[in-house]
Amino acid sequence: MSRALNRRSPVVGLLVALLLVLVGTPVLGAPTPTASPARVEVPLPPLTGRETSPPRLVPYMYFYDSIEAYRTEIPWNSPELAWSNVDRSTPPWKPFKERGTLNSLLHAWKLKVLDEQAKGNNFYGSQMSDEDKKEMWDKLLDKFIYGVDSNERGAAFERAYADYFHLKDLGYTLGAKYPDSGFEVDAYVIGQVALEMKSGPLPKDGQPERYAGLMRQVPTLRVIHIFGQRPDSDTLDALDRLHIEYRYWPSFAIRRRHPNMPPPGSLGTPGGGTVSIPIPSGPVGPKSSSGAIPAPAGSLAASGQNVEPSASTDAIAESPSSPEDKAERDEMVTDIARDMGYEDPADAPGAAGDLGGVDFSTLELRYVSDTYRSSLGTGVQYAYKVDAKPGEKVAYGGREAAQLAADSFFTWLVLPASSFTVNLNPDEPDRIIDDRLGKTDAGRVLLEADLQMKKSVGRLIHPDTPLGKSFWGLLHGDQKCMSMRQWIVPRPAVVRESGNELYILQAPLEVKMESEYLATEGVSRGFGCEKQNAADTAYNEEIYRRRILPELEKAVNTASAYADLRRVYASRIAAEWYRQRSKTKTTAYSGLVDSGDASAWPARVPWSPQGVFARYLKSYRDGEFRVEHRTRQGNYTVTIVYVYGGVDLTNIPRKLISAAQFAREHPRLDSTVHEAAQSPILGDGDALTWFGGTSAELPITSPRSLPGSPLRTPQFWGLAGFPIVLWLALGAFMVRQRRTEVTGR
Amino acid sequence: MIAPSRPGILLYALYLYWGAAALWLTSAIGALFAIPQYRVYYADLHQDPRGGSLPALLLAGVAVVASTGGAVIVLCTVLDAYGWPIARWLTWTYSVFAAAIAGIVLLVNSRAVIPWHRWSITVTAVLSLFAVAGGSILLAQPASGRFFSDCQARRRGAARQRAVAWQQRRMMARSR
Repeated sequence: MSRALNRRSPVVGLLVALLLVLVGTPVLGAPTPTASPARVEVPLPPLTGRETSPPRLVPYMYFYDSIEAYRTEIPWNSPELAWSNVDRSTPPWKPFKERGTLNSLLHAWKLKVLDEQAKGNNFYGSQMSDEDKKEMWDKLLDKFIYGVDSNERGAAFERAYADYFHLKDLGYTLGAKYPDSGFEVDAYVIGQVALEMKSGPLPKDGQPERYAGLMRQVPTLRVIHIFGQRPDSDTLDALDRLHIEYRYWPSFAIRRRHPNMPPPGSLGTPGGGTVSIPIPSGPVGPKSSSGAIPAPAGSLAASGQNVEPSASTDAIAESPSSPEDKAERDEMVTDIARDMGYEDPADAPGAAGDLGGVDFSTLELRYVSDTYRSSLGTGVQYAYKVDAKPGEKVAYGGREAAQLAADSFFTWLVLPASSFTVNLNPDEPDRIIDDRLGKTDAGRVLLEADLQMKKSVGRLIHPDTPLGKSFWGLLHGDQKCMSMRQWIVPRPAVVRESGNELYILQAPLEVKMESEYLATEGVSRGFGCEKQNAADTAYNEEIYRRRILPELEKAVNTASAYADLRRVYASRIAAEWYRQRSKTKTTAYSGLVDSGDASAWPARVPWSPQGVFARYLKSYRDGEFRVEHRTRQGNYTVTIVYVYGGVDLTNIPRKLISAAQFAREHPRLDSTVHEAAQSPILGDGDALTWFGGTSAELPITSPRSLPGSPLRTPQFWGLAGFPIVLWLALGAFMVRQRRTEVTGR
Repeated sequence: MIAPSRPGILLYALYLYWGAAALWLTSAIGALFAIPQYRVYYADLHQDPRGGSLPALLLAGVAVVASTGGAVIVLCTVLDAYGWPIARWLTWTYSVFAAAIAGIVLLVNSRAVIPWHRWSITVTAVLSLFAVAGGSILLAQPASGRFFSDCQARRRGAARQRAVAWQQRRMMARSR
């Protein structure tokens, strides 16, 4: 229908223009608020955004100028950031021409540096560590890129819509202040219609209310919001309440290098010998003329893969870390809008409202698919499950959570499964963690979870709590000795494997007593209760198993303190499936499996295993989880302290469910995860939101040309027709011979 | 002894067989041209870059079988043209075999997922079925039968003459 509209538009536009000339209405000229123009056509896409399964429309693709390449071209230790360069930068004095330039970036950096210096953090001095410097630069760059790119993307979307639907020809005024309103409208016809275009799925904060005010002022005015990405039902409900119409025009934006950036290759490389920490290269996304552009944070894409643009990946990558982060980012966006020449930054096309209604701390990788398309090559499709959090206005931390899920997926993929165990034991400081795992965030999460488990045990059995008191009261023996060593291990994950897809339906973890764990591992070891009757020790352990362990396991599977552990464990299940699949066929990451090199996914949070071990020892010695139950027995005190163990994700038991059970219990999950690759979508009765993404070898903008039908090639007709022609010629020859024989000539 | 002249009906039969052979060769060429498209289709279907290898191999096999089949039928018809009764039996046997294959192709052609190729193998199968059936019927006509009998008789006569001449030469050699 869009195409039909598009085809009709010029004709209709011409007729409308003719009509306007006949009735003498100066809509195409300078409009006046008092004029009463003829009704103009309102070209709208057919979808409202409320459709659960939109028909298979090919999204409209448009390009926008992006400065994303600064991220790889100017690392924190680049010579471009030498103070002499930064100090020379000047405020952008030609706003529109200066957007995205190196000067404007350096000037924003200069302001930040001076601001931080006032607080005593001198980037150019020795007061800051390399890690802090890097973090400071990365944060500013994030915000700067977001500010410029969101404005450019918004402006590109407006241009694309106006061009596609020929708004100018139809008599619309584009990107100007609506008379007497005081604010800029993307496209309007006075007294009839005002179009507000959003490249994303959300309007700006307060913008719908401003339009509602305009509608009260001009009762004949229709206000229509056009979304380039599917809006959620909360947004649409809010628009309904304000009597604002809406349409969804499926489209996606493709980055291209900003023309105001310095030419590719002209920027410096990281500065000589001063580099002391690795710069996370992370996943590599769409290629630009200058080389690789990092993929949006949280994309399940490694080197050699290109991420397809989607509302889901944008929503995750652009989610602020914290309220402070959001405030700083909004400030940057406002500054950039002013730099771009907008008197009122709210009129700028970029920076829509932030996604809300979800709890990103629950984000887990729950769907992965090994894809192949001849036009784009091998790739991966994935979806993250996030719990809904009604009433949450802005969801924070999506970027970090997804990044951890994605990084750990690759960590699990490249390192051997035998190394996926950590162990905090005061007697075994040399067996904390595998060296390579110890440099990753996945390793950090496992070790932190181990430490957290010990703290949780300490809280649960604390004699001052009702549970702890009753627990100690039930123990037998003079020493009340028992083993409290436990390990977090996976319970069978409930999964659905369907060809090249894996749905992770449940990923529970189990806390095992060490006696069970070692029995499983085929090792036996004394528990240190040799002085106590064995029957008493066994009884005490049974009491612990029945009263404490279920509470601990519940915490591991539900408490926010273990959210990161559950996140990396879900990625571990997905990675294990992918590892096994890569053994039987060529996948996008066949080359990475068991390569042993996790250097492309270094820890994004600075940490060291020895640091965690030191914290463990400190907590142990200071009694944070070292529970001592002192009982006077004659003239001595009995002290029991046995809290250690680890996390072991080396084995991933799985429970496969059948297609019938999957269809019965999760009837919409299949379509949900696929739709999530384009935009966030609700699932399981709105209790969950799914965010997905897709990557492939080739960018969607430049697919491989596929072999077409040979019917259009003369070679085919020449070769295939030759035997038939030969046969017909032979027939003609035989007829002629026959005639010759009959007539004798 | 004068060689028996080939009846027109036999020539029509042979011509129909050659037509079938031409169709099979065309079909073989079509199969080779279709390989890239099948390779893409099955790679996408199986979500595996190597997923199209087996169909490609099968199509190459089909092309080889179709070309060989065409060559065999041409060889049979050449022998038919010289009146070899055994060739006539071989041709009939081969016709039954070819008709069965054409029938199977018609039954399973829905598996050919590339539209132009599906149509091409359907048309080829139908036409070759008619050609082979027509050729077999014409080959069984009395006039054709007489030609094969005459040829056989002539060949036997010639053989007898050669045997007598050989005996005579042998006796002459002994008498010397």
